[in-house]
Amino acid sequence: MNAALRAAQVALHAWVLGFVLSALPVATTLWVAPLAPPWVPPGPFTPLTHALGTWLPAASAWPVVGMVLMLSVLGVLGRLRWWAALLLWVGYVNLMHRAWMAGSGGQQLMANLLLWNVPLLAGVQAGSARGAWLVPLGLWMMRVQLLLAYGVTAVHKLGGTLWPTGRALGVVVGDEAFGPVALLQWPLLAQGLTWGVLALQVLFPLLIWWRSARPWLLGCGALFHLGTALWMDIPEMGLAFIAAYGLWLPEEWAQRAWARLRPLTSPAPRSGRRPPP
Amino acid sequence: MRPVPRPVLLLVVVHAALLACYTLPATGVPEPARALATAYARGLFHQQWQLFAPDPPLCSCHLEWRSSAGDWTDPLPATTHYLARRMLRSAAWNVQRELAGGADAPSAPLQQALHRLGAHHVPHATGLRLVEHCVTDPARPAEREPRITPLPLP
Repeated sequence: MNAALRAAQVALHAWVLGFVLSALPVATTLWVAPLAPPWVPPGPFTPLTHALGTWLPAASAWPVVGMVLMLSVLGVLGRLRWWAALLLWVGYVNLMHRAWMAGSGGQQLMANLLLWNVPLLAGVQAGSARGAWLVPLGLWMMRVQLLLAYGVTAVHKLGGTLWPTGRALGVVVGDEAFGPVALLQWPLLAQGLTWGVLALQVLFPLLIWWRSARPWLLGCGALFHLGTALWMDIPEMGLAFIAAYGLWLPEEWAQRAWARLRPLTSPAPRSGRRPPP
Repeated sequence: MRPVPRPVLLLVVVHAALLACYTLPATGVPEPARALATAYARGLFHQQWQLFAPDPPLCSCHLEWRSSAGDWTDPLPATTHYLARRMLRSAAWNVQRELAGGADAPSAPLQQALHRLGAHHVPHATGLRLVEHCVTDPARPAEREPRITPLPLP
């Protein structure tokens, strides 16, 4: 696995680990005795994706949470087999669907990325023959998923009236649930930021293909998502997008990052011990 | 970037096109394509990207339950966990959306959710209402008018 793929694997699994750990204080009301009533859409896959709360008893939520935590740790460590990645996806989507009232686009984004991570890992672990098409299949499905999220939300917003006129952020921050409310004191700044967000979402899927634009795009995107995490009360959504940026990291950036991290992660051999031949 | 094998490229393009038909505004997608995309995407790839789109709601909203002591309580400010707040907010948004769509009362699944939320946050509640603060002029978003809609207690 190359350095960029490895970085993406760490980011995705670290997100799952962080999200499920962050949800533990309210795990009972999310998954065990949920406040959300059961919601099961029609379809052939629902016995798999909505098992929890239908044919799996509610008490199974705890083992599922334990499995998801354990597998995401293995994913961060780079030791996840493809079939374990499939189990991780099944466990994660079951938790997500059971707590649908606490859902977000970030959780949905991650469900899609975890699904395509299965063929990607299968390809990496299968070697050259099957890997020649499974790895690009998984990787490009994941990359395109991120671009689609930006492109689609941009189209929806361009069809409204408040985003194109620059008034949307003023209305959002004036809502008692969000912020920063101080932005209402600077209407021109609010207008500029509205257009900035819209421009980012329109341009991201277009400019990401130019290497020189990528650092600026990823940097602006990270700032935007940190802002939404902080003020829009959707922390896991902002961080899910930032984690997905790992999929678009150029290989040499990832190699440089790993080279900087290596002294922290692999300790120097102790003195008096014979180095391996 | 390494060249992508053609069959893989074809699969990625078809998948992305179907997801686009599933998630883009319904007005811009032909009905047969929408139906095909829904059949393909709903089971495994469900997603929606309409947060604050096409426009953010002009009315902020929250739910209030009347406690047995008779005072109205909004459980949101006292709720510290972001996912617990999300559930309350999601219920309020859904009530607002259904009422704006012409319904007289929340649908049965939503009533069930309201019952569970009420029992959890305000046990033995004797009343329920939707409280909104509505922007009257988007050029002056700080100025909002209150609007209160009584709801049947589930």
